[in-house]
Amino acid sequence: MLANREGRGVDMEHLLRLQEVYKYFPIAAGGFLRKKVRLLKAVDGVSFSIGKGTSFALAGESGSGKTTVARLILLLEQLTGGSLQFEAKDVNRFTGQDTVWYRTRVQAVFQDASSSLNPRMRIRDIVGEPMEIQQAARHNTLSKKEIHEKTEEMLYLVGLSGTVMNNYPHELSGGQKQRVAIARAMILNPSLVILDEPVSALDVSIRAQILNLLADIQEKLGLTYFIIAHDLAMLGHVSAQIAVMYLGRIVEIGKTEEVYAKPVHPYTRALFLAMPLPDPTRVKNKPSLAGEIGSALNLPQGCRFHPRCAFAETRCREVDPTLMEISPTHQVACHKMTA
Amino acid sequence: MTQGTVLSVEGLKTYCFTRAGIVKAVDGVSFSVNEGEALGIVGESGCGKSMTCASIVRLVPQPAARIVAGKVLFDGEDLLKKSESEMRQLRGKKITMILQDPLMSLNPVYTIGNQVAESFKLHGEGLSRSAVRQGVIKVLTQVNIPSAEQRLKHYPFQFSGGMRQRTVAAMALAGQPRLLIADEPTTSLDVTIQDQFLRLLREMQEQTKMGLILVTHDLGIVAETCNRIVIMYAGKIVEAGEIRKVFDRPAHPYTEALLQALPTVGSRSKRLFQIKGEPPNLLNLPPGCSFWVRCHKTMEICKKEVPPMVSLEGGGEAACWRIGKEEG
Repeated sequence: MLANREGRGVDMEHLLRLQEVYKYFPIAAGGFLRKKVRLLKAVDGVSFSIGKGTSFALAGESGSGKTTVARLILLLEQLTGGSLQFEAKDVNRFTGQDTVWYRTRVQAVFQDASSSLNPRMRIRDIVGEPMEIQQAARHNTLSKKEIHEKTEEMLYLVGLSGTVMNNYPHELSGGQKQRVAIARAMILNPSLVILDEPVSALDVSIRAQILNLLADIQEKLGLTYFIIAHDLAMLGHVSAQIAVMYLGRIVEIGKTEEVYAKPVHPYTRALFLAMPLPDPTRVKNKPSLAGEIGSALNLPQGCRFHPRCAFAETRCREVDPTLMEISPTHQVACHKMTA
Repeated sequence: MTQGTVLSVEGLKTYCFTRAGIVKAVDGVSFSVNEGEALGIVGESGCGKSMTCASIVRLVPQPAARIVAGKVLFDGEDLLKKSESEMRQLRGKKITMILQDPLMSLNPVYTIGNQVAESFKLHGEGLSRSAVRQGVIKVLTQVNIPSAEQRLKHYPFQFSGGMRQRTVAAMALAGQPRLLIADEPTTSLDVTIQDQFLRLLREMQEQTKMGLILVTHDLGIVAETCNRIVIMYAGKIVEAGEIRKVFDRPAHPYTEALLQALPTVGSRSKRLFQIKGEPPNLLNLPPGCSFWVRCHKTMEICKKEVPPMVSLEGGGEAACWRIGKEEG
C-alpha cells in the first residue's frame, strides 16, 4: 500500500530542492560604539531534494538546525544564502502573488497541538481559517456554506465527526487536537506538508493512530511529507529518505533502508545506539556518545563532530569533511568513512 | 541482586474529589521494590503513575486528592501513619525524587553550588562549610559535571538540559537515598543525553544499592534500565512481572498492544497495530474491566466484572479474564 513512499532512484521528479542553503543569525556580542556581531550558523550549507509523493526525514539532536530548515521551507525565515526551489520555481524570485500561492501548497503540523491551536477559536473556525484567508487574499468568493462543507470533509478525513465542529480545543483530547491540526493543514489541498515532531507529544497508543492516519492521507491525496523528529524508530517507519543533521550540516543522507541497514557516520551510529529499544536482551556496554552538542556560535575547527567522536584523528581536527558517495543513494561526510 | 524490600505498597488508593465526581486516580495498587532493584512503572497519561509516586512521598495535591486506603511500607514502616515532620525528615534524604523538567526543580536565582549544598545542609548533621563544599564538588563530579569546582558559581540557565538534570540527580543522591523515584526523568532530553543519564542512574544504583522507581511511557527505556515492570491502566495495575517475561510473553492485551504499537526500524511499510479509542476518562469508566472498550480480545464477562489479579505461569501477574482460558 505504501509503494508511493519508495524513492524511485535519482531521476524522480523533485517537488522541493534545497541547494547549499545557509541561514546565519547575527547575535550581538557586546561593543558600545562599534557593535560587535557574531554569527550563529544555524544552517550551514544544506542541500537535499524531496521527490514528489515521498517522505523525507530530517533527524538530529536539538540545536542541530533541523527546525530552522523547516522554518526556511515555510518562508518564516529568509535565506542567508543558497536557493530553494519548489516545483522548479526559485523561491528567491517569488513575487507577492507567488508567495500567496506557495503558502497554499506548503503546510505544517507542529509538535504540540495544544499550543498551535488558538484556545479561543472553535474547531470549525480553526480548520476553516486557512481557507478564509486564502479567499480574502485572492478576492475569491467561496460562500460560508462551501467553506463549512469543506471543513466538515476535512474533519471526516482525519477521523473526527462533525460533532466537534463547535467545540473549543480544550474540550478535545491530545490525539483529537493533533487530528484537528492535521485537518487544518490539509484543507488547502497542499502538496508538501511539514511535520515537526508530529507524534512526540502523544501517548504511545495514540501515536500509532496518528502515524497510520498520516500514511492514509498521504496515499489518498498523494502528498509529500517532510518530517522532523529525533525518534529514529518512528522516522525509519515513515520515511523513504533520511538526512541526519549535526550543527547545521548534513552528516549522512540516503535511502532510509540503506542508512538504517548500514549507518556509516559515527554520529548516526551513536544515535542508533542511544535509541532505547523495547528489547530487554540488548546489551549496551559502551555509552553511545560522550559530551553534548556544541554551539553553532562557536563551531569547532575541522569536522564539527570531532570533539565528541571516538574515532577522531588529526585530519578530523583540521579539515572539514564534505559529503561523499558510498552508493548512488547514500552519502556521508566523514574522513574515516569505512564502507 | 541483594534481597531486602525497600518499599512495599499495598492496596493503595488515592482519590481526587472534584466537583464532577470522584476520580479514582490510584485504585488499589500494590507492588514492591527491593534493594538494588529498578522498577519501571509504565502507562499513558492519566493512568495514575505519577499520582502513585506522589502518594508514596505523601505529596498528593491536597485537599482535592486524598490517600483513602492502603499501606506504604518503607523499610517496614508505614509512611501513611507518619507525622508531617517525620515525613519531611525522609523526603530528600532517604526517599528522593527526580522530576521531568529540571528547570522546575532548580531555583533560577540561586547558584548550582548553593542548591546542591542545601541538600547537604538539610541532612548532613552539622557539616563544616568546607566539608559541604567538598561534598558538593564530589557529587557533581560523580554525575559527570565537567570542572565541577568552577561550575559551583554558575546559575541553572548557564547549564545545558542534560547538565541540569544531572545536577538534580546530584541533589537527589547527596543524601544517599534508599529509594529514588524518577518521574519521566529524560523526557526533556535528547536521545544521546538520555542514554548518558540512564547509564548514570544505573551506575549510581549499583554503587549505592538503592531501590529505583522509574516512571515513564517509553517501553524502550524500561527495557534498558529496569529489572521489573508494572503496567498501569486507569488507576489499576494490569500487569506486573520480570522485564524479560513481560516483553517476551505479555499476558494482558493492553501490554501486548502497547508493544505492537511501537514503530520499529524494521516495521516500515507495514501498518502499525493500533489501539482503538483514547485513554479513558477516569470520571466515566466503563463497568467491568476498564480496558474492554479498547481491547481487541473482549469477551462478554469483561464488560460486567472487574478481572482479578492472578499469578501467571512462569512468573508475574496480570488482571485479565482471558488468562487461564484457552488462547483466542
